Amino acid sequence: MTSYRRQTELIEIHPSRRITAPNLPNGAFMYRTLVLAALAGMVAAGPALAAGASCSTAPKSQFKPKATLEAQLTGEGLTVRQIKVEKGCYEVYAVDKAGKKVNLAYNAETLEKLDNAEAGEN
Amino acid sequence: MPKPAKTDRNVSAAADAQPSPEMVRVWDRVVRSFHWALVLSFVTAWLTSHSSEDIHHWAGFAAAGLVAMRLLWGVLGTPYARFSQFVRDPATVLRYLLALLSGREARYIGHNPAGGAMVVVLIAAMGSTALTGWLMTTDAYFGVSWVEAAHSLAAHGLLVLVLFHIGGVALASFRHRENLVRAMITGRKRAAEPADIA
Repeated sequence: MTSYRRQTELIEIHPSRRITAPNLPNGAFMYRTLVLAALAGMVAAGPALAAGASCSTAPKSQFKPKATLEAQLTGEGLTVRQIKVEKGCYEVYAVDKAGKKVNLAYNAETLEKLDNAEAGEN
Repeated sequence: MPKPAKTDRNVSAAADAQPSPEMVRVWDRVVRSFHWALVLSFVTAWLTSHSSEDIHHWAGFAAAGLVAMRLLWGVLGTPYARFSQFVRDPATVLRYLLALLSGREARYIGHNPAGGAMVVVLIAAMGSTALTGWLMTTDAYFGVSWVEAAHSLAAHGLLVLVLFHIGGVALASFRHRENLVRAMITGRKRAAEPADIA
């Protein structure tokens, strides 16, 4: 772990070494490191965080029946027109009570709703 | 055109050299830009049909707009752009196709009868594909199976037509010794010879 000496002290100890980092006071140096670590963490975790639930990777025998999902959605007031299977997801084509189209995607195994309705296609 | 023999080089150009063929303007800027923009939107739509929905929709709307523009231009445009110039009755088209089979078809400066028929069918297919595609985005027809099936059928039919169109262009280019693809870029073709139909 880097010594949190002030930049000016480091120059005196190693005068031959070129300091390329900006001349920051102690607190700012620590803050910068924390920000970088947080960003790195976010980049690594990003894809997982963005998707929320995702499509099933299990074989079709593990899927819940389409009828179960349809009944659930009808109960919620939707008119289900089609349910397609797309790579481990059920893609729902429906209209709501107001007649507006609704496009949803559900994990075919757990019937968990996905944030992105186009998840199965890309 | 065959190159003059080496010994002819010293003789005056007027007497012995082959004159370059006279070129005439056939396809105007509207026709040419419409054609290639439509090619681009068709290819884009095809490549994004199961992936990027937004780009697919954009390409479909672009194609529909282009077709609408061409329909207008077919009435108001330059001579060779007008439907009245190149859309011929079925009997003429059939006669042309039979002549094609025996290698005796004439060279046309504008669209030949088969080409004219192809334009009509392509516009109809392109229009149907765009229309059914658009219907799929409406509340009334979203997720309705027969609309999806119609869209798929129209799109695949269109692909078959496009392949025939490319084949026809290649055949005519070969038969009449001209580059018709380049003609659709520059707009110019070799002027009519006595047997050609201007």
